[in-house]
Amino acid sequence: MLDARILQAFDQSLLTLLWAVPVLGGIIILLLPREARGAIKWTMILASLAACALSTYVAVELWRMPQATIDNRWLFSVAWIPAVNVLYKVGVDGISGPMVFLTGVVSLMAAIASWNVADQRAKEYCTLFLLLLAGMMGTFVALDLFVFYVFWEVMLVPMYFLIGIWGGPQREYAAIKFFLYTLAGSVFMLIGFLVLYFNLRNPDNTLTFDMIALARNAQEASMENLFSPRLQFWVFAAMGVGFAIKVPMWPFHTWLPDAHVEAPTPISVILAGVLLKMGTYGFYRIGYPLTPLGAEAWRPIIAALAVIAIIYGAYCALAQQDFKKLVAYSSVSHMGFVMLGLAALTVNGLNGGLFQMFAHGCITSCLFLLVGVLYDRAHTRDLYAFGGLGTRLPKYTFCMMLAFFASMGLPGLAGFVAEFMVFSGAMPVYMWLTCLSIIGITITATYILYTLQRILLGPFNQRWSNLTDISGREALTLAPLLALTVVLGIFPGLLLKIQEPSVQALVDTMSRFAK
Amino acid sequence: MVGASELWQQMRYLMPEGLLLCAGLVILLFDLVVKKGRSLYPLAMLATAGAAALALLPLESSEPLFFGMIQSDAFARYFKVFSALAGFLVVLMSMDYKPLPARFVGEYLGILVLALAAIMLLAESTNLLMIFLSLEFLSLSSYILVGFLRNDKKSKEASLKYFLFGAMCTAVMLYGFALLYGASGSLDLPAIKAAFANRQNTPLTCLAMLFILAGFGFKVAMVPFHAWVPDAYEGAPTPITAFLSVGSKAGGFAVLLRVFFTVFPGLDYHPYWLAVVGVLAVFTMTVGNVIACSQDNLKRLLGYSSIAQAGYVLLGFVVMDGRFTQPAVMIYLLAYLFMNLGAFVVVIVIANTTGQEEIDDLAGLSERSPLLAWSMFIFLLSLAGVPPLGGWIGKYYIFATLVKGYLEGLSGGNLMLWFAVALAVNSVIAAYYYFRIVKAMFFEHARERMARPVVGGPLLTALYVSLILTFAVGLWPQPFLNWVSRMALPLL
Repeated sequence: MLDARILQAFDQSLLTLLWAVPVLGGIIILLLPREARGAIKWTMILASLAACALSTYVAVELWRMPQATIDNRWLFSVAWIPAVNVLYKVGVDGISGPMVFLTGVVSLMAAIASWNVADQRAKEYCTLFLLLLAGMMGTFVALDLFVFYVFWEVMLVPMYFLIGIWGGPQREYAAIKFFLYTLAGSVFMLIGFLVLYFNLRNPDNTLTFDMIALARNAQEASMENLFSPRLQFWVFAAMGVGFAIKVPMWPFHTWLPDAHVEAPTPISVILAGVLLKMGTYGFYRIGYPLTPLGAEAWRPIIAALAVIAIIYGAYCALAQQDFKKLVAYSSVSHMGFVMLGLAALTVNGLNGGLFQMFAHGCITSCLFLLVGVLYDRAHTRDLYAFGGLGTRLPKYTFCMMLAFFASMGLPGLAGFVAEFMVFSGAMPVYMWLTCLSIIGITITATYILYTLQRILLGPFNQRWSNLTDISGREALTLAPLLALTVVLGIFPGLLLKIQEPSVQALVDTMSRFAK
Repeated sequence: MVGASELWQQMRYLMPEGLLLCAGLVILLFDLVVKKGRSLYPLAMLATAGAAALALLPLESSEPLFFGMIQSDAFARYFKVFSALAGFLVVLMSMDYKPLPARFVGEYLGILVLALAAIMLLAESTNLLMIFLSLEFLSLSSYILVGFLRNDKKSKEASLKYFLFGAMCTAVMLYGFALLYGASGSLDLPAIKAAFANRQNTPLTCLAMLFILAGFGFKVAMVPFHAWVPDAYEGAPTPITAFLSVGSKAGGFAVLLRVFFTVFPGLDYHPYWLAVVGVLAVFTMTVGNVIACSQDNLKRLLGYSSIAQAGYVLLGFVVMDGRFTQPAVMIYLLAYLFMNLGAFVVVIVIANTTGQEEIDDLAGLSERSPLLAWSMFIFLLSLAGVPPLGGWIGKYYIFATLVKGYLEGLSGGNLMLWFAVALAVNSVIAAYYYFRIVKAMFFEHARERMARPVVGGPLLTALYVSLILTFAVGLWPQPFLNWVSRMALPLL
């Protein structure tokens, strides 16, 4: 009897723990003396480990459920600010579940990779890192628009500092650009949320920020013509700006190369691995279900922008001389696939988009870690400065080949599954755009092979004769991500099983509003 | 007629301001006779704390008091608590403010305490004459306080500019009162309201409204009546700058709410109101924010920022929806009280350390004093309206008011959506200059010979109080929101 109650309490607080554990870790760090750098860093890693363990548990349990829908045993809701009808409501389903898991894994790897960076101003770094982790977890589990917004903004501040204090030479510019850009997006998002809040009343005429209730109300109101397509169009646009800046969709991507390049390696990993997914997640979770007619109207535009991002991002990557900038632009290109799948609004498209979010999270994190490995030793990221490292650094070469091929979409690795699903989902809907986007694949292959060639092949530059291979700690950060890439490439069903019911439900809902 | 005993009975509603008036006079007297300088601080603290406690007592009356001069309702009580609390923090801030000569402390505190009483009277006046008198009471004490650093040219200049500007705006306001009197035949707000009941808007009432807005707009620092702000804020002793930016501004908003909610709802004036106040509010925040971007002096920067903040609050007035407008304005002011005073506490500490108040003086503050740097950061973040801090709850309410007005199809609703967009754009501009300060504190390194700032007990107390309440309003807003909605003016 008691056990059942404890279990229930654990289930109800599990999703809260996901963000509360990092916060707690941050508080512990604040209490530690400034000089105890070892203890501070270990606290950061242990808190990330705890969050990662919890998120893994969530993912495994979701996989074991017959149907990973939102009304599972972790759904928890309690009034926070009754005066404005704000609930503290959290839950996971097939859409947020994989993202929670991704956040846990990528953050733990980033925490381990922070070991050297965090030596400088350790206390501040580790606290901010954990706050960032808390913000990310909170954003993915929040089911109340108000709470979602709070977590979304909470994430901004640590990121600003992490880029601005521990970043590269242009860090101050990159940090403020990132901050203002994202803030601009989120204030418009807030206006969109407020329109939804005041416009979509519950059947008993009360107001709510609860996403699930709002989705239901929005769908009913749309059916009965109470929520005009014109208003939905603008609401979707207002929220979409916030999400699109985070993704980032072309033409809102200009903050990304600056932020990614200037950020220290572990923070670039988090930026590319997790933060970008918030934008696409916003479309899945809020944009589509809450403004179905708006989404319907915007879909073709999103598809077109996505294809531009795929091709433009790939071309930009091709032109880069800076290794990190190349990886940054490749993110613009790869996130375009998610948006294309999203725009297609077919089961395959949405599944592929979600799969790409996870796959890109793992792959691009590896890429940034690999850039970091090289930069830590050589102190340059100039692609033309290297050559012939393939024979000298076998372990590094192995990891790099694997990650780059995964990024290119080689069959057998996670990237391929995602891209294939996106294409097969988008083809019936936007045939010409999909054909165009396949050009992007070719350019991707070009820049990836060209980069491998510049770094690993060719004559060896004697300047690097004392470069050492990957250290144990670096291998530790790369291995789980690479393993996930391989495993999901061979057994995509592991992830798809979690996603499937939620995606199917979303497609069913949206199909009622298709023209 | 009201008998003497009844008047005496009514006195109990005036306990907080009575206490402050007595305390002010006692302090002045003490200063004259005993000359004890710093020992007067505890007295002033006791007086402000006592006034806050008295104001918290649930003594309210919906009946007009003192021949209809005053209405000591819940709304007035809210601003009494507000002003006493602000006064308490300002006294704490003054204790360690170095440039203030010890021999003037008595006069300084005496006038400050009287100014607090003036805010309370302003918030409860229901008669045009009484409003004018309390407004002048507040203004005159403020002029003196601004010019208190007698040997400082800037302070003197500030006081003179403030005075000239104030005199002009008040004169215009008085003209507005006269027009209102002419149109309605009475000076009592309820009687004016009755005279206007169901009457069409006339050019006369429009003009009266605009002229009155000039006087109140001067108090809250609304564009185009804001020109005194940067100079007065820079020249005044820093605690007084803090007082002006919070206390005096809140007084202006209190009387603005009362006059426009009691007098004008009878008139069909909404579209005019929307256009005039809305556009002025947008100008106010835009001018404040854009000019703040290029300021290097912290007090000037916070001055322009306070102009912008007044613009945000004014947007709350655009939608004349009683259930929403008042709580929006009142909760914003409450959050603003703590975050703005907190920021000024840090400015005082910096000025005590380096003798200046430039952004450069904050360079590397995070290394010299992490506590100060992080506190300042929290206050700035709250001013920028980032969740989960107090300023964000206020800003949320303003946004919500506008969006609600738009969706309910009030006349000129589309305009409200544009106001919301303007507010959104302004939030981003504001973040830019607040983060200039953050950048100096965290990204830059301290210059050589920059001392570690020392924070004494009183300033530390003020800092912690502001910090805790800035967090509290943001993280657990429910009790504050309940309180605010209970204290709002009764709907008409």
